[in-house]
Amino acid sequence: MNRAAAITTFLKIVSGLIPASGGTIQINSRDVDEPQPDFGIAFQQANLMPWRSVLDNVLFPMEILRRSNTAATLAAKELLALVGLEEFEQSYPSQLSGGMQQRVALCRALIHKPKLLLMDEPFGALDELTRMEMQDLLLDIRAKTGATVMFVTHSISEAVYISDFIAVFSKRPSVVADYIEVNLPYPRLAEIRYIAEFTEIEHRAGRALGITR
Amino acid sequence: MTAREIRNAVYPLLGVSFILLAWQLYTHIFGINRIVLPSPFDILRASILHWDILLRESWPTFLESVLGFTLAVVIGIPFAIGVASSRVLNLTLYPILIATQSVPKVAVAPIILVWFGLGMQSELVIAFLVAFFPIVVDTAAGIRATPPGLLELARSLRASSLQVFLKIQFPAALPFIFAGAKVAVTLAVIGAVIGEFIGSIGGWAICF
Repeated sequence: MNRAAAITTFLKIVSGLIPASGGTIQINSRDVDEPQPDFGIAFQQANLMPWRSVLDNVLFPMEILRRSNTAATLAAKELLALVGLEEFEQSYPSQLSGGMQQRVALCRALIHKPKLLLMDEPFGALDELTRMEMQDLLLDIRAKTGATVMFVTHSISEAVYISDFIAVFSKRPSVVADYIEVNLPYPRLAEIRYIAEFTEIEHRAGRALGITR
Repeated sequence: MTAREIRNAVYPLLGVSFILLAWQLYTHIFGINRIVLPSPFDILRASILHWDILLRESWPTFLESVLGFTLAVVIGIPFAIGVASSRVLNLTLYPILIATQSVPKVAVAPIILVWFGLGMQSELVIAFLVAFFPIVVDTAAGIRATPPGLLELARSLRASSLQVFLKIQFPAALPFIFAGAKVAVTLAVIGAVIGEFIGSIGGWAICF
């Protein structure tokens, strides 16, 4: 199994979507062996429902959890405003760009106020500039919602920019090759990408991945 | 009327007129026997001359096709849902369905006539049989083609099977279901007319 597939599998085990073939997953001393309603997930594909408007897509988890009411609709509108999509509530996914769809998916992952947000390369399909915007947006949302985020990425700079801790997965067999604490100050602004500590962490992650010496 | 609406009306009319004109000229220039290929004008004349029979006999054919098609939708969609969502049902029923589908309906039409008798019920059954297959196959394909990411999302929220079906699988399958219905509705008319050809007391086939 290659690294990307291994990490996706790992994330699905953490989310309780697939059972672990060995060992156990514990989060806050709670065993995770089935999907947890207080987790939110966002994957590389936005996976929006083309037949639902943006607002209804965001409200989908609330419908499943039987918590859709006026308060939920208001919360959805607030989230959409937070990601700058307040004018697109009634639009359909096909009318949005990839970055906008990913922002809708992010709102959908957050609507039921999850304590843990699991994200598998959610910005992987976006262009570099949109990606940087989304990183800032994610930091902003994390600060506002207080959710813990577990984020898979193949971009070293993305990992350093948004993380407090980075677990570096090695190639075959995929084990945690390094666990790096990121002590960069908040708020993180784009300038931080060019300071020495940032580069040092990038370098250390690169060494753990075996791409730099 | 906007320019677009005019265009939408003019171009289809232009297409039809061109075909009819070419047809008329072909039969005229080459002196085609009207038994072999009647010209559009001949057909129009005959239709006007015998409009009362045509109209009277349209009703049974129309009813047979519509009822056969409706029956195919009402039975076919739940059948397809069963086949698509249960592995056991799929393995048990799908091969039989495919196998029976390879039998030409024209060949079984006489025996259906024996079973159901002369009259509308036989034609209705044949219309149903031909319309059933595309509806089942397309609905089942549509349900199976539900994006796996959406199913995963539903599962992560612990959605019930009913919720998954109503909120994800069924809407995701709708384009497929309509594609199947489009094929089925035309086949239902053919099925009804086949039934009438074999033996019938009314309908389009007796006009020929």
